[in-house]
Amino acid sequence: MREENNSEEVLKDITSGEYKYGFTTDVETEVIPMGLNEEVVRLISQKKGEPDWMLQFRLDAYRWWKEQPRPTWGHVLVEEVDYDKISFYAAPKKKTGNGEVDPEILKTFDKLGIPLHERDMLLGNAPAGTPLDGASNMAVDAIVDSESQKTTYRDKLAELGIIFCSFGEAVREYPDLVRKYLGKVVPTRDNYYSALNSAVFSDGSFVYIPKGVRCPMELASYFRINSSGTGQFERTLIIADDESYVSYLEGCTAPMRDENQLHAAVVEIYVHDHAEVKYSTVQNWYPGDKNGKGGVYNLVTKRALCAGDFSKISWTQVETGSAITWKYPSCVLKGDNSSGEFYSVAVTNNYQEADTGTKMIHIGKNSHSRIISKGISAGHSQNSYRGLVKVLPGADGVRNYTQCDSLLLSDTCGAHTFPVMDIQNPTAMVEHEATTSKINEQQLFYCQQRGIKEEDAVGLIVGGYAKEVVQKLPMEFAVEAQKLLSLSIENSVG
Amino acid sequence: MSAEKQYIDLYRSQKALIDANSAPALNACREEAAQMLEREGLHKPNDFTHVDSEQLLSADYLINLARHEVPTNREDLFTCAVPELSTNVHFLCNEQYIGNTDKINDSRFFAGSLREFAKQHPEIVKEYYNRLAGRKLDTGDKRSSKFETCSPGEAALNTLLCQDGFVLYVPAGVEVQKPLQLISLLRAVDDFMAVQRLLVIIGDNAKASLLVCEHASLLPKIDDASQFPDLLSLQTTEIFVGKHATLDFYCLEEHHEHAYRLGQVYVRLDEGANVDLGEYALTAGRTRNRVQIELTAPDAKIQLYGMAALDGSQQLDNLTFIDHQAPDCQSNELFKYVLDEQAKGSFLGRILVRKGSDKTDAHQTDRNLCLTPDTRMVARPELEIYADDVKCSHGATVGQLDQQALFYMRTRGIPEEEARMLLMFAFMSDVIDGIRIEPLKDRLKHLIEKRFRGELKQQCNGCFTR
Repeated sequence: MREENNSEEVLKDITSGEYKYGFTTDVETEVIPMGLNEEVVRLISQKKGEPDWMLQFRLDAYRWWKEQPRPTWGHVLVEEVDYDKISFYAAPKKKTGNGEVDPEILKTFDKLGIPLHERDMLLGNAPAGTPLDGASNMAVDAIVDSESQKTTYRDKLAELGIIFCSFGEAVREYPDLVRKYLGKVVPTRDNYYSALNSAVFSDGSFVYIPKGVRCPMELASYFRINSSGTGQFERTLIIADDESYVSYLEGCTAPMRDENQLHAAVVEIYVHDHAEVKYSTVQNWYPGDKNGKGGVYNLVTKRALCAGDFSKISWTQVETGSAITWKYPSCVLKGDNSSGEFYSVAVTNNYQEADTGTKMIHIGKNSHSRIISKGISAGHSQNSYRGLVKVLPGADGVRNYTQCDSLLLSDTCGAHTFPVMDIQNPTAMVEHEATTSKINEQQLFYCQQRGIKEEDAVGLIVGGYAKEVVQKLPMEFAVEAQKLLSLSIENSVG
Repeated sequence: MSAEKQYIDLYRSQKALIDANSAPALNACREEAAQMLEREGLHKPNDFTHVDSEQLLSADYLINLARHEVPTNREDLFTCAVPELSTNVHFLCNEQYIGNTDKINDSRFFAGSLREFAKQHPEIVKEYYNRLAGRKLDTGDKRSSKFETCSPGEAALNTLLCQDGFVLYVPAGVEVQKPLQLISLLRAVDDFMAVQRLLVIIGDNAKASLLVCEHASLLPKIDDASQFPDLLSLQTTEIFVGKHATLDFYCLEEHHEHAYRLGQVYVRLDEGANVDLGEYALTAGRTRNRVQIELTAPDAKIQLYGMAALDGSQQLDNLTFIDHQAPDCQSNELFKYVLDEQAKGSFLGRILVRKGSDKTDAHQTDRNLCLTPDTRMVARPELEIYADDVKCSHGATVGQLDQQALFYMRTRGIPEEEARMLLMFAFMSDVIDGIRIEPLKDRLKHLIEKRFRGELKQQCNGCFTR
């Protein structure tokens, strides 16, 4: 019986159409004046009570960023961002004195289906009071605007020596660790947006997995932009020490607003010998309305450094939101026998534009990488894959396989692929394949013949097409991703 | 002073001389070209190609603007015709047309000097000359790839200084049975730039085959016999193919390390046109080929082949752009490279399918073999698609010879060296199999075998320095 209800719910979800996370939460928020200058950078640092080296890190980034032109090489039309009209720090004020989270925010996360109580399970599918089963649980770091609100299961993780906390806390409590790794994977001067982030980043998550520890639960960060006229600049740093393992999830939503909001994040992952990190993202920022008004500009830099031998990183992303996505989760495969994976589904509808892909830089011997990218474009959207596979002269025995497919659902959208292969070692085996096509009419006809409505048939086919990537997601996320996919392509047939 | 400025100054100061040694229809385009050159410039930096065109074009070359006579004893100059290929052979030395071996003069079409043709038929030249090379293609989308496949600046420089070249004009309905062969030789005893121009016009329902063989002589420098001069060939080729017309156009390059080539080929296909285009580099010095193909009306079909066998310090960049502007068109692209020693190659292929170009069928394949650690290959295949009912794909690989296949052959008693050869021929064979002129196919296979065995170099040097 419960199953039936469940599918009913899914159906309801699918047919409800519009962006469903578009509500705002009414909490008292502290917002600093708009605009960006050195004073603002100092103010943010001061508000977070940072040590001097952190301030210098920010100022160095800011001064470099100020001199840089805005990059325009992406296959997207990004409107000039007016940095004077954005506030770079916004934080919900905590009402209660004892450090408890504002009940309004708790309600928000309840509404979003994110468990901030340590006994709930994601999606609320399990009846209340289900016994705690460690393996299927996840620890969550919830971030609203510029501040982390709560990190769950911290104590339980601490027993194993795992550090999972907000970035601000990490700077205060583990300054040596932060200082050792910050900016090592994504240097401040890496690119325009990473420099901007380095200057003004407010919060984010920090994860450290000690030697030989296998993290028993999924770690998750949940990002939400709530205030209007602000940007979100979070910073995530994950360090996996020798022979450790962690699976990390990231989710994001934002209210519906007419203005374009800026999200420029940096994610750095440092992987030591024999360690493995799995990083999954379900990105569902507000994509703008049907006419392309509003939406989040998602301009992020994500990179993992496989520094140790036999280290492994796996990126999985489902991108359905954002007005503009400009994102290339990359792998620097420095250790011998290290491996990098990238699985991506990017869906664009209406007037969304996405330029996303990955970089695989092979430095270590026998390093291997695999790229599976699936693009789905509908409406008037533009969807591009951009990737680089680079094999440096010392990297013997490199193996890469790249597959990027695009599916077109309307005659007004665009699908593009821009891969680059730069091979400087003859022992490398590098393959790239790409196809672009419309949805298979025979498959569609077959489904319709059997009484499945066209819209549902398209959903089925798209689901099958994206399956290879979605099945790489942790179970809880996979369900959500599947629903999101159906939702995103709704009303796009024809 | 910038290279662009120098060339424009040269043109302004030598205008009378340049014009006098050319034809009015060619002269008419020069002023516009000067403006284009000034506006576009010669050099656009990008990270993905190896040949440094800025350096090549800013060197100090002699240019034969006064049209000094070149020796015309063809038998002395040319010995490398394709045997058994019963072709009508035409000769081009540097940029100058110097005759043919055509015994039966077929008056149904014209093949010969561009300068003469421009004098005789100014109206035709006016209609076609510089129509493709003299403009920047608008891709119709602001986001469009920022990478320019063709260089309007280089094309403008060619138009600015071009005085002669080769033209093939086949009027509507004429089928030229015998393939034409154009042997183009770079020959100078000092650093020299040849400004070469080819114009190919195939009328509606017409048919022709043209094979261009590029060679460079290796003569010692006039003032220092221990050195060889740098030879640069700046080429622009414009090809127009009419409704339901067929053209086979193959270009065979046998250059040496002191010969540089900056070539641009522009092709425009009308409804139902069918074109086979091949660029085969057996040996190259430093070469950059740019190809821009426009499929302007339904049912046009293009097959584009490229092959490069490079060793030493040879460099070759192929930049191709196929522009699907109309529905129901087909394009098929296949490029293969074998890189040895310190050779560097790059392949940049872009396919654009414009809005409304439904039922497009576009495929691109690029396969590369790297044989030594010092080689470098860059592949950048791009698909840009704005229509939904299409089938497009690209595939690119970089790798080495299959160790299992090698092992298999060796267990059957084939020496390793021989097994490697066999695998390399096999690797190249499908680029050649597409060629529609049978004897050329065999000849090319023969040449590739010689090339891999290292026999080609010695023969060519012997042939040109005698």
